[in-house]
Amino acid sequence: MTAYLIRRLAQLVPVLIVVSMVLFALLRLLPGDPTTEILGQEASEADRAALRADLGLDAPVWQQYLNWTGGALTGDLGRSWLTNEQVGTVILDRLPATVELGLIAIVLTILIGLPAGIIAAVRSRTKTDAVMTTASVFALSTPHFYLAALLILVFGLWLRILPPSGYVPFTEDPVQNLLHMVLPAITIGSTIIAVIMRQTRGSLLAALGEDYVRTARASGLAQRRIVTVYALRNAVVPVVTVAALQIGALMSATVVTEAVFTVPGMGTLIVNAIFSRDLPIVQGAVLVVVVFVLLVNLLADLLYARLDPRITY
Amino acid sequence: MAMTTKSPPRERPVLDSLRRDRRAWFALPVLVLLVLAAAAAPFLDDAVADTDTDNLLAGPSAAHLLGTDELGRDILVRVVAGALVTLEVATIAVGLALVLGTAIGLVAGYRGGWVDAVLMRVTDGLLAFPLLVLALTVVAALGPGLRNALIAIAVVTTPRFARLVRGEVLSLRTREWVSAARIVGVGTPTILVRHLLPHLAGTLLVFAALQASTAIMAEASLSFLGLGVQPPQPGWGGMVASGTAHLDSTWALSVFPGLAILLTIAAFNLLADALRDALDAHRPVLSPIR
Repeated sequence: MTAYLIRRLAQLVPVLIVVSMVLFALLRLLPGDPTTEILGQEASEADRAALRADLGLDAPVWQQYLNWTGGALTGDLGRSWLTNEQVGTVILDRLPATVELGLIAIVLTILIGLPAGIIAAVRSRTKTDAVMTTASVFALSTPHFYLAALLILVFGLWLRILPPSGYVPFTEDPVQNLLHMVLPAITIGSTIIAVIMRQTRGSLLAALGEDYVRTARASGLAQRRIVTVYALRNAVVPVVTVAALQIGALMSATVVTEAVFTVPGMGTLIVNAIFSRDLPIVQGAVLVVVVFVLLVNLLADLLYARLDPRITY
Repeated sequence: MAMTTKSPPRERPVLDSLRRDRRAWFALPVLVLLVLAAAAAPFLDDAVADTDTDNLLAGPSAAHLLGTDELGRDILVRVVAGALVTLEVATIAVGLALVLGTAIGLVAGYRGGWVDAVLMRVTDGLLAFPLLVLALTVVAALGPGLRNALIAIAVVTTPRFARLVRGEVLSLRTREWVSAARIVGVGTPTILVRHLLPHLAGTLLVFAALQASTAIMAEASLSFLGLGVQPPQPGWGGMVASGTAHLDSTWALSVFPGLAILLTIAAFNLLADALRDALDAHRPVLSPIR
């Protein structure tokens, strides 16, 4: 297991090198002078040169890249061009809202997606199954910003039972915090709930066709016990993998959803930084998101082995 | 599925399967409507910009079937004209990614060695980004606008095609007919295009339909955030965005363009599902088993 873990971590190295190069190349080699963005059009050439030296932009490109990645490895992602704040500090400030949203979305997935998939599989080829499968197709086809608008319209404006947007820190008022998180979390969760439902249905149906299920049936075990104890145990393994692969999609969904509900998380941070052309923030925030996604995928692979004793590394 | 001695023409059973598939019957009219609306868009230039200043944010009426937006423009006309952008995403951006990704995948899978290693490390690196996050980063570098959004979507979609094609080529390259072609001295480009590519056609078609739905969603999201289609050009994502400010008064402004996006994406998804099932059922025996 340790050897496997080391091997997997080693495999991440080339991916991270490419990721950092892509980020650096995209954002640093683009035309235009960042000092114009920061100081404005009227600044004197002397001021610009001073700022360029201050930001390390006068160094050769390869050295700028090494400075940035070297800093990133030690937790220093540079400073915002706009506010001069540490990028790392800004990110830590925005992380809690995004993590909370993600966690609630995952809880919703386990509470809704998994049971829905089980019901669809047990009732396969019935009306229930057809309705649920169709619903999942439409859930997967609905853009998050659109679902968000519809939820705001129905629950925030027509029924007036949930706040239509905004954010309250958990430490300030836990109840208000959760109330504000419900609609964004449902929005973000919609995709992953549908994916997990489909995957659970598929792999549970496959498991129910296995010989050991037939044997269990023949020996007179109750259907409920066969499904929950025997088949589900095996069906859940691929579901975990698929769920982990959805973490990237979850992050994509978060970016748009946070913007609609004005949640001050990583998504709004990235979008606002793009508008204000604060490239160190974009670079740092995107890097953190990608590293997070890679680590979750690694974690899922390790969990995979725990869930299925037949898999050894 | 069954192997018969006389080999029937392949296309017929696939079409027959599609004809019996309800998913295909959902997708067909939606996609036909999309193309018709996009074709009508150039003739709607005047109507799209026409402002009825007496009726700002008006509800449905005989003059404006779906009502008007905050500038008094007809919502229905703008929804119809907005189809053009969506069709451009599905054809130009996905088409570009299809061509580039397929070329990369073919070369990487067939050549192997360091070419494969380099191409696939870059592909892995790009695939490590969440799709919309990478698209946003590309737009951050290039600047907002429809053309740059199309480029961004092509960039994020290309590695997906490359991965798929490479995997298929790895299993196809050891087949007898490929070895035979190589032994009799057929050049690599000819092997790639004439002996490998035709076997990928079905898989690529299904995958392109799936990617079209993802790409349309990504473009709509970029435009919703204000980074894609720029006003006053009509695009569905941007229309939903401008409507969110008026949800309590004129919900039609957000709801109808959004519905158009939803139906289009669903159509591409269902078409992909139906196509996959139809092609799987009539896959020739030589093709790889998955």
